[in-house]
Amino acid sequence: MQSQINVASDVSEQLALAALQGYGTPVLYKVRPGDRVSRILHNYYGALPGTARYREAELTLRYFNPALANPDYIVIGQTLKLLPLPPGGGSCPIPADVDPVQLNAFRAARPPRHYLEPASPNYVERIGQHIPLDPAERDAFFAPAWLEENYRWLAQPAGVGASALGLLTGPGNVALVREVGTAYDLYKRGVLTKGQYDYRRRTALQTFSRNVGPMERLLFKGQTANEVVRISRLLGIPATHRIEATAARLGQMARYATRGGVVLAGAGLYMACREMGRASGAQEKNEIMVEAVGSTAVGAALSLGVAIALTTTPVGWGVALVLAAGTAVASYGGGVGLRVAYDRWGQKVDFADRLEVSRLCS
Amino acid sequence: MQLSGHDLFMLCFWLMVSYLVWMPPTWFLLTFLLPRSLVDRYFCAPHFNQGELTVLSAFPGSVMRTGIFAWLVAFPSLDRRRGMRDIRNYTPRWFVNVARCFCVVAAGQGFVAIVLLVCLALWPGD
Repeated sequence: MQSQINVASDVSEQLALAALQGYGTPVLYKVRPGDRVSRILHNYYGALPGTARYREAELTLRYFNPALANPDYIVIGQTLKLLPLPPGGGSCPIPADVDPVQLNAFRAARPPRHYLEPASPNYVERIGQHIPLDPAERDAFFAPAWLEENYRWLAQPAGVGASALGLLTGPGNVALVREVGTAYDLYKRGVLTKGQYDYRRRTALQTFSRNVGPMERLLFKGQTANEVVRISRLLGIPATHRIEATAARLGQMARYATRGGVVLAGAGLYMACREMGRASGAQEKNEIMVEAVGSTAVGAALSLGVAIALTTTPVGWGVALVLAAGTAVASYGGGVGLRVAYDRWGQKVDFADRLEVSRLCS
Repeated sequence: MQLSGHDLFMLCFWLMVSYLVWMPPTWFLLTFLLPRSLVDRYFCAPHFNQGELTVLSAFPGSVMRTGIFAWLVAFPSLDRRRGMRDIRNYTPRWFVNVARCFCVVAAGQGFVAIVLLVCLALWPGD
Protein backbone atom coordinates (compact mmCIF):
# COMPACT_ATOMS: atom_id res chain seq x y z
CA MET A 1 0.00 0.00 0.00
CA GLN A 2 2.83 2.31 0.97
CA SER A 3 4.64 1.66 -2.30
CA GLN A 4 1.47 2.43 -4.27
CA ILE A 5 1.19 5.84 -2.59
CA ASN A 6 4.86 6.56 -3.31
CA VAL A 7 4.39 5.65 -6.96
CA ALA A 8 1.34 7.90 -7.24
CA SER A 9 3.23 10.72 -5.57
CA ASP A 10 6.21 10.28 -7.91
CA VAL A 11 3.96 10.34 -10.95
CA SER A 12 2.20 13.48 -9.82
CA GLU A 13 5.52 15.19 -9.16
CA GLN A 14 6.75 14.20 -12.60
CA LEU A 15 3.55 15.57 -14.09
CA ALA A 16 3.93 18.81 -12.22
CA LEU A 17 7.58 19.18 -13.22
CA ALA A 18 6.85 18.38 -16.84
CA ALA A 19 4.02 20.85 -16.83
CA LEU A 20 6.30 23.53 -15.48
CA GLN A 21 9.20 22.76 -17.78
CA GLY A 22 7.67 22.31 -21.16
CA TYR A 23 3.96 22.85 -21.20
CA GLY A 24 3.39 26.53 -20.62
CA THR A 25 3.64 28.98 -17.77
CA PRO A 26 0.96 29.43 -15.13
CA VAL A 27 -0.96 32.63 -15.53
CA LEU A 28 -3.11 34.63 -13.15
CA TYR A 29 -5.55 36.09 -15.64
CA LYS A 30 -7.84 39.02 -15.02
CA VAL A 31 -11.06 38.90 -17.06
CA ARG A 32 -11.42 41.84 -19.47
CA PRO A 33 -14.47 43.24 -21.26
CA GLY A 34 -15.45 41.01 -24.16
CA ASP A 35 -13.80 37.89 -22.76
CA ARG A 36 -15.41 34.48 -23.06
CA VAL A 37 -14.33 31.26 -21.40
CA SER A 38 -13.95 29.57 -24.80
CA ARG A 39 -11.63 32.32 -25.99
CA ILE A 40 -9.53 32.26 -22.83
CA LEU A 41 -9.18 28.48 -23.02
CA HIS A 42 -8.31 28.68 -26.69
CA ASN A 43 -5.70 31.36 -26.19
CA TYR A 44 -4.04 29.73 -23.22
CA TYR A 45 -4.43 26.01 -23.94
CA GLY A 46 -4.88 26.11 -27.72
CA ALA A 47 -8.02 24.05 -27.19
CA LEU A 48 -10.85 24.15 -29.69
CA PRO A 49 -14.40 23.77 -28.34
CA GLY A 50 -15.77 20.28 -28.76
CA THR A 51 -12.36 18.58 -28.53
CA ALA A 52 -11.05 16.37 -25.74
CA ARG A 53 -8.38 18.91 -24.96
CA TYR A 54 -11.00 21.61 -24.52
CA ARG A 55 -12.96 19.48 -22.05
CA GLU A 56 -9.75 18.75 -20.16
CA ALA A 57 -8.88 22.45 -20.13
CA GLU A 58 -12.34 23.31 -18.87
CA LEU A 59 -12.04 20.74 -16.08
CA THR A 60 -8.64 22.16 -15.16
CA LEU A 61 -10.11 25.66 -15.04
CA ARG A 62 -12.94 24.53 -12.78
CA TYR A 63 -10.65 22.51 -10.55
CA PHE A 64 -8.21 25.32 -9.90
CA ASN A 65 -10.93 27.95 -9.69
CA PRO A 66 -13.48 26.50 -7.27
CA ALA A 67 -15.20 29.89 -6.97
CA LEU A 68 -16.18 29.59 -10.63
CA ALA A 69 -19.58 27.99 -10.10
CA ASN A 70 -20.64 28.29 -13.72
CA PRO A 71 -17.73 28.29 -16.24
CA ASP A 72 -19.93 30.00 -18.82
CA TYR A 73 -20.43 32.95 -16.51
CA ILE A 74 -17.40 35.13 -15.84
CA VAL A 75 -17.38 38.76 -14.77
CA ILE A 76 -15.06 41.59 -15.67
CA GLY A 77 -12.21 41.90 -13.19
CA GLN A 78 -12.53 38.31 -12.00
CA THR A 79 -9.17 36.58 -11.56
CA LEU A 80 -8.69 33.10 -13.02
CA LYS A 81 -5.84 30.70 -12.34
CA LEU A 82 -4.73 29.19 -15.63
CA LEU A 83 -2.40 26.28 -15.01
CA PRO A 84 -0.78 24.18 -17.72
CA LEU A 85 -2.07 20.78 -18.69
CA PRO A 86 0.44 17.98 -18.07
CA PRO A 87 1.84 16.03 -21.03
CA GLY A 88 -0.74 13.92 -22.78
CA GLY A 89 -3.57 15.87 -21.21
CA GLY A 90 -6.88 14.93 -22.77
CA SER A 91 -9.64 12.39 -22.47
CA CYS A 92 -9.70 8.99 -24.12
CA PRO A 93 -12.12 8.82 -27.04
CA ILE A 94 -15.36 7.01 -26.29
CA PRO A 95 -15.79 3.85 -28.43
CA ALA A 96 -18.61 4.10 -30.95
CA ASP A 97 -20.32 0.89 -29.81
CA VAL A 98 -20.92 2.01 -26.20
CA ASP A 99 -24.56 1.92 -25.17
CA PRO A 100 -25.64 5.58 -24.64
CA VAL A 101 -27.88 4.62 -21.70
CA GLN A 102 -25.00 2.94 -19.91
CA LEU A 103 -22.71 5.82 -20.76
CA ASN A 104 -25.10 8.39 -19.26
CA ALA A 105 -25.51 6.24 -16.13
CA PHE A 106 -21.71 6.01 -15.84
CA ARG A 107 -21.34 9.78 -16.20
CA ALA A 108 -24.08 10.44 -13.65
CA ALA A 109 -22.37 8.13 -11.14
CA ARG A 110 -18.94 9.69 -11.71
CA PRO A 111 -19.13 13.44 -12.22
CA PRO A 112 -16.10 14.95 -14.00
CA ARG A 113 -13.15 15.59 -11.78
CA HIS A 114 -9.61 16.64 -12.45
CA TYR A 115 -7.04 13.91 -12.95
CA LEU A 116 -4.67 15.48 -10.43
CA GLU A 117 -7.26 15.77 -7.70
CA PRO A 118 -6.62 12.56 -5.73
CA ALA A 119 -2.93 12.12 -6.42
CA SER A 120 -1.44 15.51 -5.88
CA PRO A 121 -3.12 17.72 -3.33
CA ASN A 122 -0.05 19.95 -3.12
CA TYR A 123 0.02 20.54 -6.88
CA VAL A 124 -1.75 23.87 -6.57
CA GLU A 125 0.72 25.10 -3.95
CA ARG A 126 3.72 23.91 -5.94
CA ILE A 127 2.64 25.36 -9.23
CA GLY A 128 1.14 28.41 -7.59
CA GLN A 129 4.64 29.58 -6.69
CA HIS A 130 5.27 30.09 -10.39
CA ILE A 131 2.18 32.18 -11.09
CA PRO A 132 3.31 35.61 -12.33
CA LEU A 133 2.16 38.42 -10.09
CA ASP A 134 3.67 41.22 -12.13
CA PRO A 135 0.79 43.18 -13.79
CA ALA A 136 2.92 43.83 -16.88
CA GLU A 137 3.39 40.11 -17.37
CA ARG A 138 -0.34 39.54 -17.09
CA ASP A 139 -0.96 42.30 -19.61
CA ALA A 140 1.53 40.69 -21.96
CA PHE A 141 -0.74 37.66 -22.02
CA PHE A 142 -3.80 39.81 -22.49
CA ALA A 143 -2.46 41.88 -25.43
CA PRO A 144 -2.25 39.13 -28.08
CA ALA A 145 -5.55 37.69 -26.91
CA TRP A 146 -7.23 41.10 -27.24
CA LEU A 147 -5.68 41.62 -30.67
CA GLU A 148 -6.92 38.25 -31.86
CA GLU A 149 -10.42 38.96 -30.58
CA ASN A 150 -10.65 42.42 -32.12
CA TYR A 151 -8.67 41.85 -35.29
CA ARG A 152 -11.71 41.65 -37.52
CA TRP A 153 -12.84 45.22 -36.93
CA LEU A 154 -9.28 46.54 -36.65
CA ALA A 155 -8.22 44.97 -39.95
CA GLN A 156 -10.48 47.07 -42.12
CA PRO A 157 -9.35 50.54 -41.02
CA ALA A 158 -5.76 49.28 -40.77
CA GLY A 159 -6.01 47.93 -44.31
CA VAL A 160 -7.48 51.20 -45.60
CA GLY A 161 -4.76 53.16 -43.79
CA ALA A 162 -1.93 51.00 -45.11
CA SER A 163 -3.31 51.13 -48.65
CA ALA A 164 -3.62 54.92 -48.42
CA LEU A 165 -0.02 55.15 -47.21
CA GLY A 166 1.04 52.95 -50.13
CA LEU A 167 -0.71 55.26 -52.59
CA LEU A 168 0.79 58.38 -51.04
CA THR A 169 4.30 57.02 -51.29
CA GLY A 170 3.67 55.56 -54.75
CA PRO A 171 5.79 56.03 -57.91
CA GLY A 172 4.20 59.38 -58.83
CA ASN A 173 5.29 61.05 -55.63
CA VAL A 174 8.68 59.35 -55.52
CA ALA A 175 9.31 60.75 -59.02
CA LEU A 176 8.68 64.26 -57.64
CA VAL A 177 11.41 63.75 -55.03
CA ARG A 178 13.83 62.42 -57.66
CA GLU A 179 12.98 65.43 -59.84
CA VAL A 180 14.90 67.60 -57.36
CA GLY A 181 18.03 65.47 -57.81
CA THR A 182 17.71 65.53 -61.59
CA ALA A 183 17.30 69.31 -61.60
CA TYR A 184 20.39 69.66 -59.40
CA ASP A 185 22.47 67.53 -61.80
CA LEU A 186 21.33 69.69 -64.72
CA TYR A 187 22.21 72.82 -62.76
CA LYS A 188 25.69 71.51 -61.96
CA ARG A 189 26.28 70.69 -65.64
CA GLY A 190 25.26 74.19 -66.57
CA VAL A 191 22.06 73.23 -68.38
CA LEU A 192 19.89 75.07 -65.84
CA THR A 193 20.51 78.41 -64.15
CA LYS A 194 20.30 78.76 -60.36
CA GLY A 195 16.90 80.40 -60.69
CA GLN A 196 15.60 77.62 -62.94
CA TYR A 197 16.85 74.96 -60.52
CA ASP A 198 15.25 76.72 -57.55
CA TYR A 199 11.98 77.03 -59.42
CA ARG A 200 11.94 73.31 -60.37
CA ARG A 201 12.82 72.26 -56.85
CA ARG A 202 10.15 74.46 -55.31
CA THR A 203 7.48 73.32 -57.78
CA ALA A 204 8.25 69.61 -57.32
CA LEU A 205 8.22 69.80 -53.54
CA GLN A 206 5.07 71.93 -53.44
CA THR A 207 3.30 69.39 -55.65
CA PHE A 208 4.54 66.59 -53.38
CA SER A 209 3.30 68.41 -50.28
CA ARG A 210 -0.09 69.01 -51.88
CA ASN A 211 -0.38 65.34 -52.89
CA VAL A 212 0.38 63.88 -49.49
CA GLY A 213 -1.51 66.60 -47.61
CA PRO A 214 -1.55 66.21 -43.83
CA MET A 215 0.48 62.99 -44.05
CA GLU A 216 3.64 64.90 -44.97
CA ARG A 217 4.96 65.26 -41.42
CA LEU A 218 4.06 61.65 -40.69
CA LEU A 219 6.12 60.46 -43.65
CA PHE A 220 9.15 62.52 -42.63
CA LYS A 221 9.03 62.06 -38.87
CA GLY A 222 7.78 65.55 -38.07
CA GLN A 223 9.65 67.40 -40.81
CA THR A 224 8.43 68.75 -44.15
CA ALA A 225 9.58 67.57 -47.58
CA ASN A 226 11.33 70.92 -48.03
CA GLU A 227 13.41 70.27 -44.91
CA VAL A 228 14.30 66.68 -45.78
CA VAL A 229 14.91 66.76 -49.54
CA ARG A 230 18.12 68.81 -49.53
CA ILE A 231 21.56 68.75 -51.12
CA SER A 232 24.29 67.11 -48.98
CA ARG A 233 27.21 69.39 -48.12
CA LEU A 234 29.39 66.75 -46.47
CA LEU A 235 32.67 65.78 -48.10
CA GLY A 236 32.88 62.27 -49.52
CA ILE A 237 29.11 61.95 -49.96
CA PRO A 238 27.36 62.55 -53.30
CA ALA A 239 25.40 65.82 -53.29
CA THR A 240 22.14 64.05 -54.11
CA HIS A 241 22.67 61.31 -51.52
CA ARG A 242 19.87 62.49 -49.20
CA ILE A 243 17.45 62.85 -52.09
CA GLU A 244 18.15 59.33 -53.34
CA ALA A 245 17.90 57.94 -49.81
CA THR A 246 14.54 59.66 -49.28
CA ALA A 247 13.19 58.41 -52.62
CA ALA A 248 14.36 54.87 -51.86
CA ARG A 249 12.78 55.00 -48.40
CA LEU A 250 9.46 56.21 -49.81
CA GLY A 251 9.54 53.55 -52.52
CA GLN A 252 10.18 50.82 -49.96
CA MET A 253 7.41 52.18 -47.73
CA ALA A 254 5.01 52.14 -50.71
CA ARG A 255 5.75 48.49 -51.47
CA TYR A 256 5.31 47.38 -47.86
CA ALA A 257 2.20 49.50 -47.30
CA THR A 258 0.40 48.47 -50.48
CA ARG A 259 1.07 44.76 -49.94
CA GLY A 260 0.34 45.13 -46.24
CA GLY A 261 -2.98 46.85 -46.92
CA VAL A 262 -4.15 44.08 -49.23
CA VAL A 263 -2.91 41.39 -46.82
CA LEU A 264 -4.59 43.07 -43.84
CA ALA A 265 -7.91 43.34 -45.64
CA GLY A 266 -7.74 39.70 -46.72
CA ALA A 267 -6.55 38.59 -43.29
CA GLY A 268 -9.68 40.16 -41.79
CA LEU A 269 -11.79 37.56 -43.58
CA TYR A 270 -9.34 34.82 -42.59
CA MET A 271 -9.58 35.85 -38.94
CA ALA A 272 -13.38 35.79 -39.13
CA CYS A 273 -13.10 32.26 -40.50
CA ARG A 274 -10.62 31.30 -37.79
CA GLU A 275 -12.87 32.72 -35.10
CA MET A 276 -15.77 30.72 -36.54
CA GLY A 277 -13.64 27.60 -36.31
CA ARG A 278 -13.15 27.98 -32.60
CA ALA A 279 -16.66 29.28 -31.82
CA SER A 280 -18.30 27.20 -29.14
CA GLY A 281 -21.67 26.72 -30.84
CA ALA A 282 -23.71 27.14 -34.01
CA GLN A 283 -25.18 30.38 -32.69
CA GLU A 284 -21.78 32.01 -32.27
CA LYS A 285 -20.57 30.74 -35.66
CA ASN A 286 -23.61 32.23 -37.37
CA GLU A 287 -23.24 35.54 -35.57
CA ILE A 288 -19.65 35.88 -36.78
CA MET A 289 -20.56 34.93 -40.35
CA VAL A 290 -23.58 37.24 -40.49
CA GLU A 291 -21.49 40.13 -39.16
CA ALA A 292 -18.79 39.52 -41.80
CA VAL A 293 -21.43 39.40 -44.57
CA GLY A 294 -23.11 42.59 -43.31
CA SER A 295 -19.94 44.64 -42.97
CA THR A 296 -18.47 43.51 -46.31
CA ALA A 297 -21.71 44.09 -48.25
CA VAL A 298 -22.31 47.52 -46.72
CA GLY A 299 -18.64 48.41 -47.31
CA ALA A 300 -18.88 47.40 -50.98
CA ALA A 301 -22.13 49.33 -51.52
CA LEU A 302 -20.77 52.45 -49.84
CA SER A 303 -17.52 52.27 -51.82
CA LEU A 304 -19.59 52.40 -54.99
CA GLY A 305 -21.49 55.30 -53.47
CA VAL A 306 -18.22 57.14 -52.86
CA ALA A 307 -17.18 56.50 -56.48
CA ILE A 308 -20.51 57.97 -57.62
CA ALA A 309 -20.01 61.01 -55.40
CA LEU A 310 -16.53 61.50 -56.85
CA THR A 311 -17.91 61.61 -60.39
CA THR A 312 -19.63 64.89 -59.74
CA THR A 313 -17.17 66.58 -57.42
CA PRO A 314 -13.39 66.28 -57.20
CA VAL A 315 -12.48 66.14 -53.52
CA GLY A 316 -9.62 67.44 -51.46
CA TRP A 317 -7.76 65.77 -48.63
CA GLY A 318 -10.20 66.62 -45.86
CA VAL A 319 -13.27 65.29 -47.65
CA ALA A 320 -11.39 62.18 -48.80
CA LEU A 321 -10.42 61.36 -45.22
CA VAL A 322 -13.98 61.93 -43.99
CA LEU A 323 -15.36 59.70 -46.77
CA ALA A 324 -12.86 56.91 -46.04
CA ALA A 325 -13.45 57.04 -42.29
CA GLY A 326 -17.22 57.27 -42.74
CA THR A 327 -17.23 54.24 -45.05
CA ALA A 328 -15.16 52.19 -42.58
CA VAL A 329 -17.42 53.13 -39.63
CA ALA A 330 -20.65 52.54 -41.55
CA SER A 331 -19.33 49.22 -42.81
CA TYR A 332 -18.56 48.10 -39.27
CA GLY A 333 -21.97 49.35 -38.13
CA GLY A 334 -23.65 47.40 -40.95
CA GLY A 335 -22.06 44.20 -39.70
CA VAL A 336 -23.09 44.82 -36.11
CA GLY A 337 -26.61 45.77 -37.22
CA LEU A 338 -27.09 42.57 -39.21
CA ARG A 339 -25.73 40.54 -36.31
CA VAL A 340 -28.22 42.13 -33.92
CA ALA A 341 -31.01 41.48 -36.44
CA TYR A 342 -29.91 37.83 -36.64
CA ASP A 343 -30.13 37.52 -32.86
CA ARG A 344 -33.65 38.93 -32.95
CA TRP A 345 -35.15 37.25 -36.00
CA GLY A 346 -32.84 34.74 -37.61
CA GLN A 347 -31.62 32.42 -34.86
CA LYS A 348 -33.45 29.37 -36.14
CA VAL A 349 -31.55 29.40 -39.43
CA ASP A 350 -28.07 27.84 -39.52
CA PHE A 351 -26.57 29.88 -42.37
CA ALA A 352 -23.03 28.73 -41.62
CA ASP A 353 -24.04 25.12 -42.15
CA ARG A 354 -26.31 25.83 -45.12
CA LEU A 355 -23.60 27.78 -46.96
CA GLU A 356 -20.95 25.17 -46.05
CA VAL A 357 -18.96 27.90 -44.27
CA SER A 358 -18.81 25.81 -41.09
CA ARG A 359 -16.98 23.05 -42.91
CA LEU A 360 -14.71 25.50 -44.73
CA CYS A 361 -13.72 27.25 -41.50
CA SER A 362 -13.57 24.20 -39.22
CA MET B 1 -49.79 38.22 -46.27
CA GLN B 2 -48.05 40.02 -43.44
CA LEU B 3 -44.29 40.59 -43.49
CA SER B 4 -42.55 39.51 -40.29
CA GLY B 5 -39.17 40.57 -38.91
CA HIS B 6 -37.84 37.12 -39.80
CA ASP B 7 -38.92 37.50 -43.46
CA LEU B 8 -37.33 40.93 -43.65
CA PHE B 9 -34.09 39.66 -42.13
CA MET B 10 -33.95 36.71 -44.54
CA LEU B 11 -34.55 39.04 -47.49
CA CYS B 12 -31.84 41.42 -46.32
CA PHE B 13 -29.31 38.64 -45.61
CA TRP B 14 -29.71 36.79 -48.91
CA LEU B 15 -29.68 40.10 -50.79
CA MET B 16 -26.32 40.89 -49.19
CA VAL B 17 -24.90 37.42 -49.84
CA SER B 18 -25.89 37.57 -53.52
CA TYR B 19 -24.45 41.10 -53.68
CA LEU B 20 -21.11 39.88 -52.38
CA VAL B 21 -21.09 36.99 -54.84
CA TRP B 22 -21.34 39.08 -58.00
CA MET B 23 -20.60 42.75 -57.30
CA PRO B 24 -16.95 42.89 -56.09
CA PRO B 25 -15.71 40.31 -58.66
CA THR B 26 -17.43 42.21 -61.47
CA TRP B 27 -15.96 45.49 -60.26
CA PHE B 28 -12.46 43.98 -60.22
CA LEU B 29 -13.03 42.47 -63.66
CA LEU B 30 -14.12 45.85 -65.05
CA THR B 31 -10.93 47.36 -63.64
CA PHE B 32 -8.87 44.97 -65.74
CA LEU B 33 -11.10 45.48 -68.79
CA LEU B 34 -11.33 49.28 -68.54
CA PRO B 35 -10.63 50.57 -72.09
CA ARG B 36 -7.18 52.08 -72.38
CA SER B 37 -8.62 54.87 -74.53
CA LEU B 38 -10.59 56.20 -71.55
CA VAL B 39 -7.60 56.23 -69.23
CA ASP B 40 -5.31 57.85 -71.79
CA ARG B 41 -7.80 60.56 -72.71
CA TYR B 42 -9.42 61.45 -69.42
CA PHE B 43 -7.22 60.33 -66.54
CA CYS B 44 -5.25 63.56 -66.47
CA ALA B 45 -5.61 67.23 -65.55
CA PRO B 46 -8.00 69.06 -65.72
CA HIS B 47 -10.44 66.12 -65.40
CA PHE B 48 -8.74 64.89 -62.21
CA ASN B 49 -6.74 66.94 -59.74
CA GLN B 50 -3.17 66.08 -58.79
CA GLY B 51 -4.10 64.32 -55.55
CA GLU B 52 -6.66 62.14 -57.31
CA LEU B 53 -4.19 61.26 -60.06
CA THR B 54 -1.77 60.05 -57.40
CA VAL B 55 -4.27 58.12 -55.32
CA LEU B 56 -6.29 56.57 -58.14
CA SER B 57 -3.40 55.48 -60.35
CA ALA B 58 -2.50 52.24 -58.53
CA PHE B 59 -4.40 49.39 -56.89
CA PRO B 60 -6.61 49.60 -54.84
CA GLY B 61 -7.33 53.22 -55.88
CA SER B 62 -7.62 52.07 -59.49
CA VAL B 63 -10.77 50.16 -58.51
CA MET B 64 -12.35 53.43 -57.41
CA ARG B 65 -11.25 55.01 -60.70
CA THR B 66 -13.15 52.25 -62.53
CA GLY B 67 -16.25 53.11 -60.51
CA ILE B 68 -15.96 56.78 -61.50
CA PHE B 69 -15.49 55.97 -65.20
CA ALA B 70 -18.28 53.37 -65.20
CA TRP B 71 -20.75 55.79 -63.63
CA LEU B 72 -19.81 58.59 -66.04
CA VAL B 73 -20.09 56.24 -69.02
CA ALA B 74 -23.51 55.07 -67.79
CA PHE B 75 -24.83 58.54 -66.94
CA PRO B 76 -22.69 61.20 -68.64
CA SER B 77 -25.29 63.90 -68.05
CA LEU B 78 -24.63 63.72 -64.28
CA ASP B 79 -21.11 65.08 -64.80
CA ARG B 80 -20.97 68.65 -63.52
CA ARG B 81 -17.35 69.47 -62.84
CA ARG B 82 -15.07 67.02 -64.59
CA GLY B 83 -15.79 68.06 -68.17
CA MET B 84 -16.27 64.50 -69.43
CA ARG B 85 -19.78 64.69 -70.88
CA ASP B 86 -18.57 63.49 -74.28
CA ILE B 87 -17.03 60.37 -72.73
CA ARG B 88 -19.27 58.00 -74.68
CA ASN B 89 -17.76 59.15 -77.96
CA TYR B 90 -14.50 57.51 -76.93
CA THR B 91 -15.91 54.41 -75.24
CA PRO B 92 -16.50 51.03 -76.92
CA ARG B 93 -20.16 50.10 -77.18
CA TRP B 94 -19.78 46.94 -75.10
CA PHE B 95 -18.33 48.90 -72.19
CA VAL B 96 -21.22 51.38 -72.28
CA ASN B 97 -23.73 48.52 -71.97
CA VAL B 98 -21.79 46.66 -69.29
CA ALA B 99 -21.18 49.84 -67.28
CA ARG B 100 -24.85 50.78 -67.45
CA CYS B 101 -25.99 47.34 -66.23
CA PHE B 102 -23.33 47.24 -63.51
CA CYS B 103 -24.09 50.71 -62.15
CA VAL B 104 -27.86 50.33 -62.15
CA VAL B 105 -27.95 46.87 -60.57
CA ALA B 106 -25.07 47.39 -58.12
CA ALA B 107 -26.25 50.79 -56.89
CA GLY B 108 -29.88 49.63 -56.74
CA GLN B 109 -29.20 46.38 -54.91
CA GLY B 110 -26.78 48.04 -52.49
CA PHE B 111 -29.26 50.80 -51.77
CA VAL B 112 -32.11 48.34 -51.16
CA ALA B 113 -29.90 46.22 -48.86
CA ILE B 114 -28.95 49.24 -46.75
CA VAL B 115 -32.57 50.46 -46.60
CA LEU B 116 -33.67 46.99 -45.46
CA LEU B 117 -30.97 47.03 -42.78
CA VAL B 118 -32.26 50.37 -41.52
CA CYS B 119 -35.83 49.01 -41.58
CA LEU B 120 -34.68 46.02 -39.52
CA ALA B 121 -33.17 48.35 -36.94
CA LEU B 122 -36.49 50.19 -36.66
CA TRP B 123 -38.71 47.09 -36.92
CA PRO B 124 -40.77 46.46 -33.79
CA GLY B 125 -39.99 43.19 -31.96
CA ASP B 126 -42.15 40.16 -32.80
